[in-house]
Amino acid sequence: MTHQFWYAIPLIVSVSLVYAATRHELMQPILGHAVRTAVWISGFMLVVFLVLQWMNWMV
Amino acid sequence: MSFTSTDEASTTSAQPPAELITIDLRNRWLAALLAWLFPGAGHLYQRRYGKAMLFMICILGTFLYGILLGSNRVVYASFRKANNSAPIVQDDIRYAFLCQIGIGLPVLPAIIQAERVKGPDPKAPLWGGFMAPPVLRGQLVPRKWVEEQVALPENEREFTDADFSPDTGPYRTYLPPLVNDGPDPNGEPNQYSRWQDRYGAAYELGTVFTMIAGLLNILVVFDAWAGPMMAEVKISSDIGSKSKAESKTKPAKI
Repeated sequence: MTHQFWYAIPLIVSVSLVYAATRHELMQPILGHAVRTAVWISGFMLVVFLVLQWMNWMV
Repeated sequence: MSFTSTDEASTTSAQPPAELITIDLRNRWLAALLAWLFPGAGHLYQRRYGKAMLFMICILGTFLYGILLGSNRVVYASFRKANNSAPIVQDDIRYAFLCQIGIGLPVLPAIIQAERVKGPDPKAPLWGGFMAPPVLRGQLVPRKWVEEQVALPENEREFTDADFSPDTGPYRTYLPPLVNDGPDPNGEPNQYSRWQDRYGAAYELGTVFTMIAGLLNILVVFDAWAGPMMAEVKISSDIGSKSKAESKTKPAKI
């Protein structure tokens, strides 16, 4: 089950880079924005994961 | 058409821009069309080579990895409803394709395959069934194609001769053995349910990857049409046949 989390990594990288590239023109701000987006997505997924885990423990 | 902007996200409208970038969007409608047809092609046309390569690698990489995960079965076009005029007795609406088509020409084989296999006189799918829609209960298929399928090696075979009606003539009807006795034919097995049995979670993951690739390309189309959504932008553009200058400044948003 847990190995399926690895599939999120290429998706997060791809989504972050493309999203950042639609907001900037130069590579440096694109990469900076991509890193921030990736951290934000990962954090959001972590929160959802923890909520689901908590619900799993409760039932 | 010219596009002048600064790429300093922290710049406010009160401050002078730190660095001005001039982007020639050329014909923005053509660029948007090219961007939709193939990821990165619109930016290549606009001579924005770095971003073209980034989009091509990221979006095509995601799309191809999704296809690989789903064993070539996750991208197909099927909007078939069972009714009196169609031979099939099951519905198959592939909503995921509405996202996948955002990637343009790479899903063209799916449209070709869907056109070939539908109707009362269907043809066999091409390219070993690549991007072909699943065979549904009640669907007519060419007899020769059935013979090829049941003769495949066991690890590649998806059908047996018992899955088809013993009709004579150029076509046979796909009628796999019933599982349920209920009145709903959508609960009965078909090739799609067999794909899910065979590939499991990888099938769903592959579907998600290809959908996200198509959706990302829609952002790229917008970027080719309008330029990047930067913190500070000044746009001068000619729109349509009339020469019309417009400029606008967007507040910083991160």
